[in-house]
Amino acid sequence: MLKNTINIFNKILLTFCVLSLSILVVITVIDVFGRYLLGLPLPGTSEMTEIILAILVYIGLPFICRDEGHVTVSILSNNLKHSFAKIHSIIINMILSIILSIIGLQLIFYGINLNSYNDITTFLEIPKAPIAFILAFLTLLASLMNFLNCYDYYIEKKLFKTESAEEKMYPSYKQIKNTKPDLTDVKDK
Amino acid sequence: MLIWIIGLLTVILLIASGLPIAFSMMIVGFLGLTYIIGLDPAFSMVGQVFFDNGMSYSLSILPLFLLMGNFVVKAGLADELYTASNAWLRHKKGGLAMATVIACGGFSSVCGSSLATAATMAKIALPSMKKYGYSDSLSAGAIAAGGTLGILIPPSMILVIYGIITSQDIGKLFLAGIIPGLIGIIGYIIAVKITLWYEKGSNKKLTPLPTIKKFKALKGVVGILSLFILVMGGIYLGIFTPTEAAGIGAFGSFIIVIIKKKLSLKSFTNTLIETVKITTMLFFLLFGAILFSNFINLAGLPNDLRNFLSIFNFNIYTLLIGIFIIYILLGMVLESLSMMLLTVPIFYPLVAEMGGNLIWFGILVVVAVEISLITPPIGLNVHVLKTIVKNTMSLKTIFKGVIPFVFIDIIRLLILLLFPFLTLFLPNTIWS
Repeated sequence: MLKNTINIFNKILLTFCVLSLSILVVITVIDVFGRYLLGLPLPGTSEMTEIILAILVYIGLPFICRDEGHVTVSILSNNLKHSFAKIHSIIINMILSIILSIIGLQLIFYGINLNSYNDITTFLEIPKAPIAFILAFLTLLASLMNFLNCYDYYIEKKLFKTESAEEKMYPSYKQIKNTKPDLTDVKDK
Repeated sequence: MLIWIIGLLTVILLIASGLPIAFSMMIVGFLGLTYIIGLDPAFSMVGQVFFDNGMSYSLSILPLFLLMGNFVVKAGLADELYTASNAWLRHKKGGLAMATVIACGGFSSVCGSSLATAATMAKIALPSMKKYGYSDSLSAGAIAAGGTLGILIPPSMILVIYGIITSQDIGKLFLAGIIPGLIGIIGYIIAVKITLWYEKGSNKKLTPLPTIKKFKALKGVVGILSLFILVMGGIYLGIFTPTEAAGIGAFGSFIIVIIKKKLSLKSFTNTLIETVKITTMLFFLLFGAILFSNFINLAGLPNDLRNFLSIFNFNIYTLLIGIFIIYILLGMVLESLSMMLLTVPIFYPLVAEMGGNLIWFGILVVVAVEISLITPPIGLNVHVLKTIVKNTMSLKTIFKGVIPFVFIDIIRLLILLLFPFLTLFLPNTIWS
């Protein structure tokens, strides 16, 4: 039951990932084409871009936190013995969880502040406070993910990864790295 | 003065202890700000940094160019680029190595990652170089060094981030990267020649392809090349802002992948999700860097460094050479982007004050970062290559192969340092 809920939630977030980025591309293209070909720029493009970008940036956060995808220098963690590595991972995840919850709370306060003087975007007049609340929600969700990581390490469900910063940065690189070049059968290009 | 020294040391300590780089900078930035301006103002600064910078129009360039790069990689550009450059150069002495360098330059410029380039090219170019008797060190050197070209040739993520930290025009930075990037390609071709001369090795010569075949080989790269020209040309002529160019580029590369029938619904969604995740990661690094640089600026680091430099009578050139040495040392442990985010906020006010042009400085920084990717002992590109070739080549062989390329790179850095107009010529012709 809980697993199903998490799965559905996961899918919804992923759908929003795909949607937000697609919309970002589409509105830019419509705006440029509209302006040059039809003389009709899309009104409020930059404001829409800003709002979508903010959501896009934060929507990836819970995933990155769950996968421990932030860029890290792993000299120390790669050389720790098992029991130490476990404690190390728990501590790191705990720190991240705390920091993210602080950021989340600050975003809520910031939103309340924006709400108190009814701050809206200049052109489309979209209220800013709800955006801050959405970002706060996603940050707190990410904080929860780090907390779950702590638990998983504790019960040893999660194993320690020894990924380099580069592998985190460019996931497709890992895929390339794992396919070995075939040095025996060479095709003449 | 004490406070920023403690801050810097703590950041290094936290990073070394395995805390994500972004969060190390956030913690120190926040605590430092609290110490200087008090808890409440520091808290409200956190809200501001994390909200306002998330909603920044100019930053939307990042996910759009990332998406463009990811689509281009999906389109299988690497193979086609190699086939094309191979068709034109294969009969020359050292031709396959030169073709590799050119294909690396083209591929890495759109793909945006020097490591992915080294890994991909190793797969494509290494087997044929091996077959035609190229020495291991030459093949490895060409691939490892070739991979570094892309972080300078636009569109380059690193230049975008640099532009944001130093509030420089991103379009100008892109244009400034073109000539130094081309000098890089030419330099590496010279490095191939030097290696051949020095090794006195012989490789089998290939017969030249008939002209018609040469042109046919170009067909595969036409789409990507026109996309590149559209994006950069649009910025140059002032038709699009860099952000709009990025949107057009992403859309164009999407069309190319569709035409090449290389995209299923699943790989489409995966590409988008991957792009969003990397965007998040980059933004949080940036947020960390902003908080951290707010702190060190308030703590008076620029002033102190300035006084320090004036004691020793540093001029801009000695300062820059000092900075390069720091980069090469840092490059041994840090990945290129983090290294820049950590150091540029410290250095750029000084360079600006000494009269250095910040666009020029940006290009120099990126070239220095490139060099650090292939210098021993921890040149990351070299290690990537090693993980791919496994036991067929030793790390020593690869580093040996890279030496002429590093040598040429240092010369390039000095040329760019001594002749700023090489960098500034293109950007100056547009917006004036």
